[in-house]
Amino acid sequence: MKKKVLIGLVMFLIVITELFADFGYQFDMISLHPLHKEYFADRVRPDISLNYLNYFEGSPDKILQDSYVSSGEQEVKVWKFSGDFSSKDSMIEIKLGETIGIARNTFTFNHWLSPLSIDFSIQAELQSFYTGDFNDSYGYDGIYFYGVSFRVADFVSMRVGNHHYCTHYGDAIYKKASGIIPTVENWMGYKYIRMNDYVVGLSIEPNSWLRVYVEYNFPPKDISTLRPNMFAPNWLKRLKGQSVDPGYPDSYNARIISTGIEVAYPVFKTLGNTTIGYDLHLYEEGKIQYDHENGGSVSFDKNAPWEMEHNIKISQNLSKTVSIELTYHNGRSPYNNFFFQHTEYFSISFRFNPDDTVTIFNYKVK
Amino acid sequence: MKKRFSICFLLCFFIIFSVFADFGYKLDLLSLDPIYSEYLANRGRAGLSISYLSFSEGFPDKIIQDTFFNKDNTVQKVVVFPFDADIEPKNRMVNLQTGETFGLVRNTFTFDSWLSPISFDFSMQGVLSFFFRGSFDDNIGYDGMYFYGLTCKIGDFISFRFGNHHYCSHYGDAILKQVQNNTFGQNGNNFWLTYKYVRMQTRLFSISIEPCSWLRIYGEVDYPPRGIYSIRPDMFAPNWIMRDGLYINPEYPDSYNARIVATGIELTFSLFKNLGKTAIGYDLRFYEEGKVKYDHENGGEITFDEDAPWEMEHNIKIAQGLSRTVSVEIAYHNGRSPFNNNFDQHTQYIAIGLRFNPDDTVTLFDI
Repeated sequence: MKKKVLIGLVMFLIVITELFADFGYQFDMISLHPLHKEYFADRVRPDISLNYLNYFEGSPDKILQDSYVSSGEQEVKVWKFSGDFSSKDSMIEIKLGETIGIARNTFTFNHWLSPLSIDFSIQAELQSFYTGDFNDSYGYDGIYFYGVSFRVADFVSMRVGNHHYCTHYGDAIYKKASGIIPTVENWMGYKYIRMNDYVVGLSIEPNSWLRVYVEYNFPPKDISTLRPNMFAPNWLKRLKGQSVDPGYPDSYNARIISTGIEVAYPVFKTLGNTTIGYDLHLYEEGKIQYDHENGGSVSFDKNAPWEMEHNIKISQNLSKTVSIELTYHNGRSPYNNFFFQHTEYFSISFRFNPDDTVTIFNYKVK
Repeated sequence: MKKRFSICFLLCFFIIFSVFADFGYKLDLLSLDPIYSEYLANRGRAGLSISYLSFSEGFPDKIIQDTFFNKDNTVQKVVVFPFDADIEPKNRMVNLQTGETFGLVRNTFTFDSWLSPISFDFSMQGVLSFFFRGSFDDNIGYDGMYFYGLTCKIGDFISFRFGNHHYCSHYGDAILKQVQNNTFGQNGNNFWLTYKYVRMQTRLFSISIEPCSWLRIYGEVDYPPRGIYSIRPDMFAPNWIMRDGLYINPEYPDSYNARIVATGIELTFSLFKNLGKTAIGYDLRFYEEGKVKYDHENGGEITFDEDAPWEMEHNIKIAQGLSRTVSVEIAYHNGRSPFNNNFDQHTQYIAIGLRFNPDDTVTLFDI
């Protein structure tokens, strides 16, 4: 037995010595170059960009809200705007977002698993939407993630943490709606909100030009709030313990699943990478059925498919930081308070992507 | 005469030859590193930043609006709309700024002279400044500001800009929720949803001097030209501005022109070798609108006081670069509200923030 332990110890020592022959450790206080990169074609990708959207379908023409749980039977109300917005079918979107890696630890050693990195990751984004002539605002979405991200061998990365969606009406909507919605309606604070979901993301980069990923987003049992009420699972309670949607089946949990593929290659050597990406989002909320033109009752259809959303994006880097992007979108409105409106648009964008790192400590065994 | 001409010609030739001995030309399609740098301490600086503001004075607790010009032929007056409840958490605000200065089609000439390099470009500066409740959920409002015009720089020493400047302000949901009891959405003397502080567009002349690598001073004047599209509130309009064929403020003196004058100084050092630069800046602004008098607590009559001083605003900022792109900043502000629709509220706050400053350039041609 002693002999076995001794042999085992020696072997372990040899492996460790081998691994640590070229050991290195780096500590970065802040990094704008994330371990688990943003999904390239995701419409809520946190980035700094200016986008011009041209709609084929679903440009804003009404507000839809479901009634509060306290006001009796769940139903949907629709208020149609009396006139079009200026620059109908076009919209400007400004995104201010970034993924910030905090207290990143990177270990390098002589093994195919090297480097190993882990950090605390914060991803925050404010995306605001304006009329096509860029004066008033339709509204804005606040989206964030915080959690842990790690990366192994520049090949696999993961993130686990909490994810938040929240949306707010802007003055363009207030102007249109104030003459239509009766002043007694408490409508101004209505929002699509998920505060906060759990999210688990996995990304694989088998080589330098290819990436595939998948992400699973679901509300935990102690979620602070999830609205509209009609999207809440049957276990969600509000107001003196009353269940919001007791008629929904147990299988429904307002989940969002996304997956995608990205291909990046320096087609033009003097510029940066050319990238093309496809992102697919699936919303379980698609099983909730309502008339988004006329309003009325809300029902659950177990056989209905999950709502699908497609985004295709092509990007050409112009320099280290600047890129120009073209996007085709088919799915939910880019502005979350119009979650009910199926939308199709084409957009052209400029993106600014700083990826700086503040390194505190960098040590390497020679 | 011929001899003199020959000598002059030779002198010119030698000077030109000497100047162009080391001639270079560069054309940049797009640059995020402006010829005319943003002012460090200016609260409307075009940048990417997040700041947390702690107010010691002037946190929003009401909205003031002046009445429509010529509405019901009544006298111009100020109406105050107190909020139904405090905006919570009180005295706290988050300011997100999305902005950048873009240099377009930049031409840079280098040659063998103290005047070298000479650069000029078409410059665009856009900033959206959002103000959120301290809990970072609802929006108090947002300001849109932009500049477009020409900038030039000579000898890495002196730079100018000249062009049009725009201010516009919009209420956010945090404010609109608080004035619902003030018959929101109706007309008359009641709350006006689209009321805004707007200057669309004013003319801007700026000059900046950097006598050495660590010092910069600047001065700027911003004034409405005769053909200005819109300047509001109406009470701030000079006497030559007309609407519906009538002068808005005919009793104001000719000397008043709603000008804004700014000046400032910036010092930059490399105090910490492992980090980026340490910078300290002071920005001073004067608003001629300070001569327009009204009671911002109770509302009522508006008067013009020729002897009143221009309204002053002070901003002091200290920034420490952490890397090439990221800096941490601390600011002290004493003057107008940072949110332009609260222009009436004298404000004092301390802010701490992070700034991200990409300064990339897309070069097309370099010889």
